[in-house]
Amino acid sequence: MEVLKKEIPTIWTTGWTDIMNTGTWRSAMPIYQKRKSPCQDICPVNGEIPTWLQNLKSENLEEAWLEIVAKNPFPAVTGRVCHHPCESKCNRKEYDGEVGINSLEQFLGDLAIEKGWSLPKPSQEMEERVAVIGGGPAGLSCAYQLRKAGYQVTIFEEQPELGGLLRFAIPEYRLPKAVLAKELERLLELGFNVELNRKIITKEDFEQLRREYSAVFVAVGAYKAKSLPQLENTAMKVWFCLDFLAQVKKGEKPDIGRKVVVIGGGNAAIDSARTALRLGAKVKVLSLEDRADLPAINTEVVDGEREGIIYYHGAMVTGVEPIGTDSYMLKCVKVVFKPSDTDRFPKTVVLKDTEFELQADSVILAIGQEPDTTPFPSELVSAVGLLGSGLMENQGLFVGGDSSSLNRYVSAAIADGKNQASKIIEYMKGNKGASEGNQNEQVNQTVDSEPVKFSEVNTFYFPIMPKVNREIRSESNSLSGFAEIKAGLSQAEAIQESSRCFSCGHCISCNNCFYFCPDQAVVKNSDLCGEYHILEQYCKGCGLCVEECPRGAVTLKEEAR
Amino acid sequence: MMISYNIPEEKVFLSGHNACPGCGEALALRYILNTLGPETVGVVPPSCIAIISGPQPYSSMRIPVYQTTLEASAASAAGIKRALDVQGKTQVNVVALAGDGGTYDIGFQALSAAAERNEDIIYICLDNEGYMNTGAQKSSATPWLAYTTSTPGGKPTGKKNVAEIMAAHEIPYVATATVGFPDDLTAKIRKAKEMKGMRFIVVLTPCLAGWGVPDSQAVRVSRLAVDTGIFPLYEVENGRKYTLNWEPRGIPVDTYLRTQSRYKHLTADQIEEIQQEVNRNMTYLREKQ
Amino acid sequence: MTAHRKLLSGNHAVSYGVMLAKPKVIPVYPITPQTPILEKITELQTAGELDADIMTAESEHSAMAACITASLTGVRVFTATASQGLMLMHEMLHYASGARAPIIMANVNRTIGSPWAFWPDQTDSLAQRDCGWIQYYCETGQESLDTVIQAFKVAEQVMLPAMVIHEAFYVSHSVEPVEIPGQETVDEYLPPFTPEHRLDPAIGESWGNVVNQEMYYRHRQDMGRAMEHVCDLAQKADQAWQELTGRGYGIMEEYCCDDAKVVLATMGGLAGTAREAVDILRQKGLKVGLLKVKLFRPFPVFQVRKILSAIPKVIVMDRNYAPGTGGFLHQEIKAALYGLANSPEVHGYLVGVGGVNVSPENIMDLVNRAMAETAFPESVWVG
Ligand SMILES: Cc1cc2nc3c(=O)[nH]c(=O)nc-3n(C[C@H](O)[C@H](O)[C@H](O)COP(=O)(O)OP(=O)(O)OC[C@H]3O[C@@H](n4cnc5c(N)ncnc54)[C@H](O)[C@@H]3O)c2cc1C
Ligand SMILES: Cc1ncc(C[n+]2csc(CCOP(=O)(O)OP(=O)(O)O)c2C)c(N)n1
Ligand code: SF4
Ligand code: SF4
Ligand code: SF4
Ligand SMILES: [Mg+2]
Repeated sequence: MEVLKKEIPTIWTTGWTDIMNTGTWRSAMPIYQKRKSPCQDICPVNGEIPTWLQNLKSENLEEAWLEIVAKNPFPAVTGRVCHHPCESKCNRKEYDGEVGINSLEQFLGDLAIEKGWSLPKPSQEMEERVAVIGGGPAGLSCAYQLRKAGYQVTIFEEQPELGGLLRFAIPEYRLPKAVLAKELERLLELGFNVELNRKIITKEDFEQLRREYSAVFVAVGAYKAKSLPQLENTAMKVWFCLDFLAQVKKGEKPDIGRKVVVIGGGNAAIDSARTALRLGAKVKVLSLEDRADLPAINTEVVDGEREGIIYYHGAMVTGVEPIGTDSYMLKCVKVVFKPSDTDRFPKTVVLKDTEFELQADSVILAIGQEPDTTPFPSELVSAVGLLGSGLMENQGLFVGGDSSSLNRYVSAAIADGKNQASKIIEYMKGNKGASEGNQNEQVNQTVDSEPVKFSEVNTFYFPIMPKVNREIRSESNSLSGFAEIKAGLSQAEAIQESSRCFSCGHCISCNNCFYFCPDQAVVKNSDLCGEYHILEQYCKGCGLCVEECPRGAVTLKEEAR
Repeated sequence: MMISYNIPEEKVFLSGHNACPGCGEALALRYILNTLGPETVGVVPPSCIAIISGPQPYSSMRIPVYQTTLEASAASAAGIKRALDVQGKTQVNVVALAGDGGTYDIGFQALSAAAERNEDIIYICLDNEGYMNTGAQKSSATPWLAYTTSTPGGKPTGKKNVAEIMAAHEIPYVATATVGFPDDLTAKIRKAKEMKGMRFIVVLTPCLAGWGVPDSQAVRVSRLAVDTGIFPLYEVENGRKYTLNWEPRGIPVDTYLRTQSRYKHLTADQIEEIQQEVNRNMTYLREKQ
Repeated sequence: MTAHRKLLSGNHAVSYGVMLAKPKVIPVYPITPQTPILEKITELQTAGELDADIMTAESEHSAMAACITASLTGVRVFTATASQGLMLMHEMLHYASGARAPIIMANVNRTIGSPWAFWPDQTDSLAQRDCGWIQYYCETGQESLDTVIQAFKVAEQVMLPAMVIHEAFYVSHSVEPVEIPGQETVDEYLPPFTPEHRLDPAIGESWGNVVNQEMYYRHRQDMGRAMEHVCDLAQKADQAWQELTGRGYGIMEEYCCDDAKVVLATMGGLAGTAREAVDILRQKGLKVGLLKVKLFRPFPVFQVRKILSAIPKVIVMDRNYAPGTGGFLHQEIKAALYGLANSPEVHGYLVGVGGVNVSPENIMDLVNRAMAETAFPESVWVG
């Protein structure tokens, strides 16, 4: 029996395939990559939207807020007034409605005010001093970023209070003063020199500042009203929209009569019209642009209509005739007008036999404003009459916001302030011969690739779930006052809404890639929560992990062999 | 909210196996074996599973596996279970992992008999709807009209409903599952593991080459099979208690059929007929609940 | 219980042998004339005398499939069949020997269909001679009982399966007094089955994974080597059994061969009739002997050559038939004697095929016929 034992079969299977190298079959390899979401891509401030939405969903509320204020110190403001292009580009829009990013931003902004959360304090103090001219969102955003980095900032503001158009133009029913005040107060805690009632008037004045400060940021907005020649030789009361809105915001009650025609198609026009409604007038809005081309935020246009504004899109005033003593007849005609990015003065084509008349006691003009460039060097003024970005950066002179752009939005102004701040820092570091600060910034950037497309989202994982909208407050429906119209979301609503986010391009450690690998080539790093890597020894490059990542956070990269 | 998985796994199935890239069957084996755990003996007949389980002396399954003949899986598994039991090793699971050919066709006699004897085994059919190991010939699990190398004009007859046949044996547990729903699949394995007697689970496992599906699509295709109602996920306890585990999202069968080149010759009328058939089947199934 | 005698049919004798060998799993499927084995085993199990799991399979194929795995899982296994059942098992017979599963199976020789018949004929088991199974052919119920126990001992040493075979009715159903050995005797003789390799999660080894050409070659070589030891081990196993019980059979029986001029060679029940014929012929002064081949696989070539080398004439009687080649034993003996210097003349007669009765007189006639003719290379039909 002993003899035999040696000859008894040896071909039982006793080894394991994990010594095999099936990775050699592969022609492509998945890589984990933090990719841009379309919302972030279009967001003017490049907000880390998927990240803070994820934090919000997991009820890490302060963390979520801190993620926002890293780039935008005014979420309670932008949560109300931002034109939110992020939502228009949101991948979920193609599925069951965009994620209500804007209302969630408001939720966090309001919560921070309620909880008294503070902005991060400067981690160091620097010697360099920077002058910021203009205390609107652009100037304040720049000041904030510089201060965060430790620089000494002086803000020069013509008005007795900070905020620019946020304070003096955007109506109370959309942006309560108290909200702005709280966010400004919190910002100022970081320590700034603020010179109010200090208008930079002359070139000498300005040059003086340039000498005293290492760099200057100019964001003076656009306040020079354009006028309409057709209305010039009339006794009729013609209001400049910013004057009208500013008076109302100060609590005054300008005499606009009973019938008001607002001319213009931007936010200023709609705000003027809705404000006039609240003063008891019947309001008509006349715009050159067609409905689809209106520069105003669409929800504003819709809300105005609901409140009783009568729109005349694609029309213009040709003249005015008095009716009796207090009223006038506006002569109007239908036109075709196509706004253009390239042509600052696009053609207006009058349509024959379309004349009509509108009666008005007064007119509010909201047809655009230009910056007052008097105090600034002529080299800084571009051909189109704006302050030119990038023209004098090498001399420490930076510009932003409405005064340098026709892209006139609060978030665009904040973005300008932020981006110019990093250029200013770079400039000042460059003067000192060091630039490592900016490199750090680079590392945190998402990989520069195409934003995640809807087709890359695996919608199976997201059961249909309609968007939660902000409700219109019933008591403010009456047009009787200026109370805020829309109610913010409750915490439960906010968390539910945030859970709709696909987190495009942003791994949320859902483990799908791990579970769907037939070769178990995806491993979780047990010590580093939420990190995954691919075992090259085994990965066959099938792409299942890529396909089953609900959010495009894994991509296949061809491998040359 | 979002669908996500949390699947407890004990690594029994190993990397380095020979399955095609993206293979649905390999994925199923991962969930099944890693859920059953190491106190298991496997039985594998000739099939892709046998290839995946590895060439001697290397096994991809860190449990004893006995490779049996094509028609004998259920009997072989029964032999092991009985031999373990008489040795007092009653805690060990015995699982047969067979293809559809080895289950619906040539192995059906042994399977039916094991069910009748209520053998204390778990029999899992990895249904890739054809004899794939031999080059994609039809089996009685191949659906109506599907192209295979032995039905080049499309299969003239329909798919055998093996789950219903097994339910008719009134065994403790019959279930359907697929890789697109790993939580459901593993829950069923866990449930089966806790039970005694004959347990039968048919797992739809898309075969990429055999169905004409790209490497990355096995999971998606398997999910569509469920969400169209073509392969509903349900379980039957003791042949009586029916539970539909996932309400199909009502996606038209066309969406599913289009993902696979084995169906590319289908006419609109044929697709409509399949749709009607699926609707009828879903109605019957709902009525049984 | 100690050894005792009982009137038993050949099949029931097998069942008692099984009881004493204590297999743990018995997958089985009924077929005439094997059924009494199954019934008795079930009876003994129900009576608590046999502690085994009897699996009532739905077919012989499944029964054998379960035998293989139960054996590979490390327990002693027994089954029984006949005729069509054995045919159905064919695939699994190879699988069993390849898996080196020392299963013991009783086969009751019965004609194979078609047409249907129920008669003793050894073709069913002989047609399986190349499946890698050890084959024992028994003459009586007592021999079958003793051989079942011996077969376990041999099979478990070489890790090959074994068939214990006797013929339908003549042996299977004829009742004779049989001595049932005591359990202690058997326990002393047959150690517990504890294979080194087995299906056990604690060990983790697998069986049956695809092998390459060289491995397959080596595996068949291993099987061949194991087979080579069987004659010797079977011989020793029989001797040891004889020492314990007084009964031994050898792997072949030489009866009056020493000075024989003619030796009758056969297997199974026919050996009994032939022995009678030898006695009568010897009385008549004819120097006739008998070679009863008990161990047919492996075929004891050296023993056959040794025994038959000085014999002028050998008469092979086959109760079996393969069209195109003739009687199995005839073929095997001719092949065994090939190249022997003074090889005997080998006559092959097809007697008893299909169960036809063969009397001592028939055999005496055969001897006379063989004396009168020169041998044909092929088997010859008689009658
Ligand atoms: C009625 C109205 C409604 C709007 N609604 C929206 C909206 O809903 N959503 C949206 O995104 N955008 C809206 N906008 C546009 C948005 O308000 C502006 O794009 C944004 O405020 C620009 O910020 P800014 O800092 O560049 O300019 P401003 O906000 O105009 O701030 C410039 C500041 O500089 C000060 N200043 C000017 N000249 C000097 C000087 N010489 N010296 C010192 N200080 C000076 C001004 O007093 C002012 O405080 C609206 C605009 C208007 C008019
Ligand atoms: C008795 C027998 N007949 C035929 C074969 C050949 N054969 C091997 S695998 C196979 C197909 C098995 O199909 P299935 O069970 O569906 O498994 P799959 O290959 O699709 O995984 C066949 C016919 C065999 N091994 N045994
Ligand atoms: S789903 Fe989320 S991450 Fe994707 S675009 Fe919408 S908000 Fe951004
Ligand atoms: S699923 Fe696994 S094998 Fe396939 S590409 Fe991803 S890591 Fe590689
Ligand atoms: S599948 Fe989930 S865990 Fe994997 S990369 Fe995508 S989000 Fe992250
Ligand atoms: Mg198959």
